[in-house]
Amino acid sequence: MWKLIAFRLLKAIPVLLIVATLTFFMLRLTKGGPFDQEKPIQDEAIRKQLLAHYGMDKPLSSQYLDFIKNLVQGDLGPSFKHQGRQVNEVIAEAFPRSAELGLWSLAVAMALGLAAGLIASLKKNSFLDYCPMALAMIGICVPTFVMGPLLILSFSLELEWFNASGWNSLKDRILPALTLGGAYAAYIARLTRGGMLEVLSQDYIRTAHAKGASPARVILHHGLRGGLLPVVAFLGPAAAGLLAGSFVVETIFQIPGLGRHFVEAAFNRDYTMVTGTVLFFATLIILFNLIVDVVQIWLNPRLRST
Amino acid sequence: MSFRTVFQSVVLLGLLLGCSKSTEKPNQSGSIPQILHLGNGAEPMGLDPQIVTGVPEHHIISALIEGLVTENKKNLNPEPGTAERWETSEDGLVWKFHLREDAKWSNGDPVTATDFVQSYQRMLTPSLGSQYAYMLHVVKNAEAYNSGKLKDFSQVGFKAINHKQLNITLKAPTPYFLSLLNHYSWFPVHIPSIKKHGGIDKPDNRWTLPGNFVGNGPFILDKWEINKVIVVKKSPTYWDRKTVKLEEIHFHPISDVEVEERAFRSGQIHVSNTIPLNKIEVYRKKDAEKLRIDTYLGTYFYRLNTKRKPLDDKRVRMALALAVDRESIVRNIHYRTVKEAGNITPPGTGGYTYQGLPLKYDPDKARQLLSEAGFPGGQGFPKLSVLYNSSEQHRRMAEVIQQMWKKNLGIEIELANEEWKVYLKTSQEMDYDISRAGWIGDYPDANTFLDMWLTDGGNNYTGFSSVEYDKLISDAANAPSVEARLTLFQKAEELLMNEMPILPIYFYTARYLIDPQVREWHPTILNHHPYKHVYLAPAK
Amino acid sequence: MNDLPSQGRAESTSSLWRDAWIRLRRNRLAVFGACILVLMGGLSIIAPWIAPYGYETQNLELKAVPPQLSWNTMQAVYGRCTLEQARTNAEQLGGALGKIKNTQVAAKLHGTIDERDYGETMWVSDWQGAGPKRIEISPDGFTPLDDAGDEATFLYLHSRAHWLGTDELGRDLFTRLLYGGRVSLMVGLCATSVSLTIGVLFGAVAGYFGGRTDDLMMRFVDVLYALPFTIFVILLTVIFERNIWNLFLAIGAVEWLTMSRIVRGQVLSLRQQEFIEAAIALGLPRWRIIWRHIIPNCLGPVIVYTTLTIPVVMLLEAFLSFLGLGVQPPMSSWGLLIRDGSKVLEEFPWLMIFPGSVLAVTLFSLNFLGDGLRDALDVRISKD
Repeated sequence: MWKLIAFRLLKAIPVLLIVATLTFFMLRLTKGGPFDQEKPIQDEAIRKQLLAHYGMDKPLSSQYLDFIKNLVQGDLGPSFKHQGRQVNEVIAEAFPRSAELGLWSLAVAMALGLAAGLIASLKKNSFLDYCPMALAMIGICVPTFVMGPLLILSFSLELEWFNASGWNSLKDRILPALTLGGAYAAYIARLTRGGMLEVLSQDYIRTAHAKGASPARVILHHGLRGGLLPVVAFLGPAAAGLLAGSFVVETIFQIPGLGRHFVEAAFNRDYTMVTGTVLFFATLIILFNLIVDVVQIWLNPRLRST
Repeated sequence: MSFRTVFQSVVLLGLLLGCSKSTEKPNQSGSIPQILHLGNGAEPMGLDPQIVTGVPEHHIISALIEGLVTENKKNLNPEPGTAERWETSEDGLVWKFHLREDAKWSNGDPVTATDFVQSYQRMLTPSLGSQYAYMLHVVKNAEAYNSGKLKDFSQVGFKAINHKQLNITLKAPTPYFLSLLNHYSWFPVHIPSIKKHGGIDKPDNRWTLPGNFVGNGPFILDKWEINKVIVVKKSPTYWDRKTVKLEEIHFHPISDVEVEERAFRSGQIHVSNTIPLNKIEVYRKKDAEKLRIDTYLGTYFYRLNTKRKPLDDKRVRMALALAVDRESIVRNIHYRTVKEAGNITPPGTGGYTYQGLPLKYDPDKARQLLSEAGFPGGQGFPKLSVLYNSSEQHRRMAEVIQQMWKKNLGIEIELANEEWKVYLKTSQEMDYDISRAGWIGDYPDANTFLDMWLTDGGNNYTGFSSVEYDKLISDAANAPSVEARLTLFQKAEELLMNEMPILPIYFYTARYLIDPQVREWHPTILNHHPYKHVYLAPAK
Repeated sequence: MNDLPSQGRAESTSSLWRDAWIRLRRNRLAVFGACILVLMGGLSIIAPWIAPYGYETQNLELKAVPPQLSWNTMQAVYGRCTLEQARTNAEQLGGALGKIKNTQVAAKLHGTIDERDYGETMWVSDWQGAGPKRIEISPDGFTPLDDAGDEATFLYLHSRAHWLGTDELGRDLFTRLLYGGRVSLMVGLCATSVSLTIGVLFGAVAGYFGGRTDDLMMRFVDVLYALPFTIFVILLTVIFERNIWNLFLAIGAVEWLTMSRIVRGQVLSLRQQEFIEAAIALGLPRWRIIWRHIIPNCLGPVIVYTTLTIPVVMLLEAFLSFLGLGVQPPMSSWGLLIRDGSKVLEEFPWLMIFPGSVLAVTLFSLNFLGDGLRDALDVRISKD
């Protein structure tokens, strides 16, 4: 197991390099650069100076080499948009907020989703199945950009229980976490139900029942192991995405998190910032997919042989 | 767990949360803390007045730094600022500014004439690559130094006569010179701090971060969290600190208009940056005193690519312009918050109002012109496309105009939206047929709206080129009197409107929400509100 | 434990699918879901023939009108256009033009007429377009009076219904929903099939072969996950002509990733089960094992995830169209309508509610059908 983890972390390096390289060239291929503005720089000399300052006057190949060289040293460079700030600093400032929101949302999503999915699968085709599943489907249909404003309108503006925006007190975490977590809970509920139904009809579960094991034990010990596989696979990228921040939710609740940098940097063509956030996200993805694989092995001990 | 216990716990939770209502709210009764919360649009790029180019940046910088002159709170006329008085030579070329004795930087240093000269030298240093350096080009030899042709800064028209006297020599008399001085490109910067935090010509210098920033304005920079808030505090060293009533200003970078409106409604901000269009009627009916619509120095228009067929035909361009019902647009899309534009320069810009025949909605004339151009009833008219940048408002405008052209001229136009930066490139490379555009004046003078249509005008992008027009504008720059200058502008604009390389639609207004507690917040044409006069008092 | 059921599945595939079809037809909910979906698809296809208005037809004077079922609904509007222009407008819309004495009354009339308006007079042209005539508002409706005049304000008598109201440019929402279904259902179908095909195959292959192959394939997925989607989309708009196929490409390119990871997880676990090992021991060709044994056995989660993907894809389409990829206005889609509606949900809630409901109904139908399919394809359940 440890060997697997060590190997995987080692393999992360080429993956990150490929991601960095692809992002670098995608950005350069995209129309419009960081210094294109509504009132563009008229003077060619001034334009060149500005480009030279950010090393963008060199040929693409040497720009790329510089970029990789700095990257290896852990230096993501200065942000083009946020003058005077390093990308590292910006990420360090924003990530804890997104991560916190992500963890809250994940907790909401897991608690609601797993509970609803489990109950629904155990009481298939009953009220306890239809009701949470209908809710889950509504949760999927109501996108976060609708749910967020709805929650704010009712709980912040009508009832005045919460702030309409901002990220200061602990209370400011509740509505965004519900919005974001609710969306994921719906998925988890559906996937849990599907996965559990699949497993509960498997032969070994029937066998376990036949052998007289207690239903609770069958479900917890045998059922969950196989039934949670789809959820776990889904959760890997989902958790990475949650921790890296949601642009929509962070915008609606005015949360200064990483999700906004992720999207805004692309719109600003803030090259260094895009590569920085992308690499950061890639690391999260690799990490969480690794965790998922470990959990999958743990859930299904027979995989260990491979 | 019964339903009842669930219900009880929900209510209990609600009460718990409800009791501790937000302490962030600025508007509470009783004595009002003098902390102003402003919605400030996009996150500022930076706070270096010699680097940045945007409006949100201006709002913050104008609180932190003061130029030679300041603005009158009501009409923005120049008032004594860091300079307590000034005089000008008879030919209007030499300006002598006398700095006040008690003008200080926020670190306690006195503000000297040398500081200004050094600031302008930095602004014009070619290697800094400052984009607004051209604002200083009215000064003798400034352009030459800026482009690197002139190496010796002592030949540029800035001179520190002594500690407190600054002489500025212009290359031509410039009637709007004093209003230029209120543009942040003319603000002084604290050179020693800049040297300390990264060097004179580094655009990503760290001197603008909290703790490093040294300014001479009514406020000092206290806190800056990206995408969250910028806090400025009353400066203890500002010369006119007695006038300043606000203790703090919080600039909230809220770029989403709906989010901002909700923040305003819940009392989190006192003044918003803008208002969603669909909320205008709501506020008009319920909270009319909170809605402000101020004249603003800007025009919304469509560029027509005169290098492409059939738009190279003046009659086609005129037909397109005449077939747009501006009145309906203003009334139905903008809820009568903006003014129909029959020309490009907003009325009253620096004493200039276009006197020519206004562009009317005249579908019959438009059809006639179109058929004269060879497209009777729109037959054979190629499928042109309207380019606009991705935004709800621009899309709506394009959809409406598309239908007006279809109905009135029988022509089919397609719409093409592009992401902002792509759109900029496409328009600037003139790879479009018709493209939406807007122009906000840099300073209150007609020149800022008219000189871009020069043949080599940096923001022309229509292919429009007229020797006569170029001559009128350059004559205006050297006109002997203000009247003669305005007459030349009239002629130039009339020529422009006859050629119609652009299709004016409406004049912008600043539309925003304001809490009645905010005082001394006057409507001004540049949407500047000198913060040193602003304060909060219980609503009447 | 035994491997008989799966053995049976391998040997009689045709009867398996036929049995599944029979079981599916017996599932009432699933049939209901399928019917709704077919109905929606059908309505969208024949939209040009059944839509009451053009999807791009605007009537700015009737912007943001709430749903109204009745004919001859009154809608007060005021403006400075000439009588002639106003009449043309009104007639084009199949309505008639009216004029009213003063703006206060016009304002009051916005929406419905109430008692306070009795006795007021206004100018209208009659339903046949003749006129204008002077009429009086009375409890019985409109009483014709004597002759004409000219005022700055006018009134439409709008004689056609907007069942779901109009949007902010006065376009009929019902019509736009009908047309919007074309884009959304197409995107839902195509993009989801793309992501389904790639995702299932990719995941199944990776999971089945395991080891190095799996490792390499999954690292590839990691790379794709991490690439900046916004930049990718902008790049697509620049490189290619804007059209709907690029939209499928862009959506398909991202949506299969999670699917492949889910399938891989399933397959890895199936791979260890006896019936697969038995199949391998029997020497069946690999593709046959994957196709006949592996994929059918992970259909459950696949179907669930697919039904979940469809609404996401439909909403994603709105974002991409916003960036300039995909549909161009004035054409619309459900996603775009929901996006627009979400901005005005306080003022004009119907613009949010109806598109949202259509999406919800689609999703519910899909899930009914999906659950039905899942049950129908599940051999083990059928033996209960």
